[in-house]
Amino acid sequence: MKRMNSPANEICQLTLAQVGALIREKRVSPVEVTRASLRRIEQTDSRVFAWERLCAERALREASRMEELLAAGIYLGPLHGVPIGIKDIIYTAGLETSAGSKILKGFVPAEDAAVVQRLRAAGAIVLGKTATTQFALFDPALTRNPHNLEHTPGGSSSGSAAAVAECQCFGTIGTQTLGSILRPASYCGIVGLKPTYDLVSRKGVIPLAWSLDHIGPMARTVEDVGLLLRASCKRSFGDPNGRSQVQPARHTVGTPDRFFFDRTDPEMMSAYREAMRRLERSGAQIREVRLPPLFEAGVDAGYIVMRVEIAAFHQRWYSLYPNDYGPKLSSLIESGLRIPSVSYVRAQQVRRAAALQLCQLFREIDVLATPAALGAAPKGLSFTGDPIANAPFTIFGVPSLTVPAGSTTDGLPLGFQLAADYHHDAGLLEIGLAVQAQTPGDVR
Amino acid sequence: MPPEVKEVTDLLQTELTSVREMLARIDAAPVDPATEPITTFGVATLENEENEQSG
Repeated sequence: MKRMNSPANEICQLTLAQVGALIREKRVSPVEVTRASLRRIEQTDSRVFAWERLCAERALREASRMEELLAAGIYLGPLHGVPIGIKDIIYTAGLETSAGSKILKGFVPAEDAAVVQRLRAAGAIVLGKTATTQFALFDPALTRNPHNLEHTPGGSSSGSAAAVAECQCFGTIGTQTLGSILRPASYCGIVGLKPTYDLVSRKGVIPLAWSLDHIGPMARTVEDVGLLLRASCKRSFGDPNGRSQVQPARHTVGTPDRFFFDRTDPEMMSAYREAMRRLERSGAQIREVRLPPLFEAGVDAGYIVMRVEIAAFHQRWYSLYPNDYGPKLSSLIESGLRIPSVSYVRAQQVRRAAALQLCQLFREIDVLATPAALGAAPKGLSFTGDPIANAPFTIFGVPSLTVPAGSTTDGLPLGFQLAADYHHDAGLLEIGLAVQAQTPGDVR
Repeated sequence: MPPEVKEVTDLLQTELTSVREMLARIDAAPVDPATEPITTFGVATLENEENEQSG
């Protein structure tokens, strides 16, 4: 097989699947790819600030080991020798994990989180930790949006989104408690996947709200997030690339009757309608559906649950180090501490009842399609945007995906969101592949 | 009042108003507290050993 002699930056522009295939064919080596990513970070991160810290020497050692395995005829799969980033609320053995906070500054976990163990076992090379908002909530990191440095990249997986959009690595792992994977993915013009609740283990991930926290991949294509999910998850979820088994053209795509459109800006609405037209032209059946009666109350319930669980986790540290908390997290902890336990139980009951109603809706349709955010990335760096477009699917625990859907007249990315029933992650990815294939323009 | 304290105080007032409104809507939802289980899909899996939190 002919070796590839491309400049480092050309390697970085490849998708995860493409670079993985070149490594398998021994046309590029894991060390070359890792060096290319590290060089790209060196060239670009002084303006984007996607990384909290790197572990360059260890990454190169691991890449070298991956080369030795390949030379010995041992191939671990499509992530073999591929550099990735890990959000800085996810434990990495021997590498500081500070969650964007002063409180955990200097904390070095002894073990990798379960998801990191799985990714390493699949051959992925961890380059370092990507920046997060403080404890994965709303107090922002330094990260900027690669498409316009004056705009937020979104949060809380700010660095994870920006690093992928800037081609500094081939995929990242983020977390989402309301909209922290899908919103930054939409703002940065990449693909983000929030899997079914509990499909990816939360062991070794610093909690924000236990019953809402999800771990999921971010990358430049739907195929790439499928490859990362397959390596990350606890159990099989089907074949994300089994195009012959699923026919997206035959799928029924629901468009909701309310909730997602009231505050959405015109350019995002236009991108949404165009994506729906493209899906229809490809043969999908579009159907307007009524969201369940409890939908809004269920979303409210999720926001209450989140506040109480945040307060429960942070109560002790907050009493010891109140000045180390940002204003947004402080106010949420304070309000969470004031919510009666009876109200928490009530919120969980309403949330569950609403989730069951949503399951009924998924008997009529295969996926629900919505805008991925209220608009493009807002200007400024003190606000990471509103997660309301993504929060319902996090609160109800169903899988959701955002795919790039064009850009504004100012060149800021827009996103298209799809959600499916519990454990229909594979089908969701199939339809996401169809949407991506019909979207004009290249991946960044 | 120092600006940072005022910021938290202002945010908290907005927060508490928002929480009161959400709680009122949740209380008004037609869900029977006597029959609805409290185990969500999420809470039910927290006993899973693999998900023990280490934060």
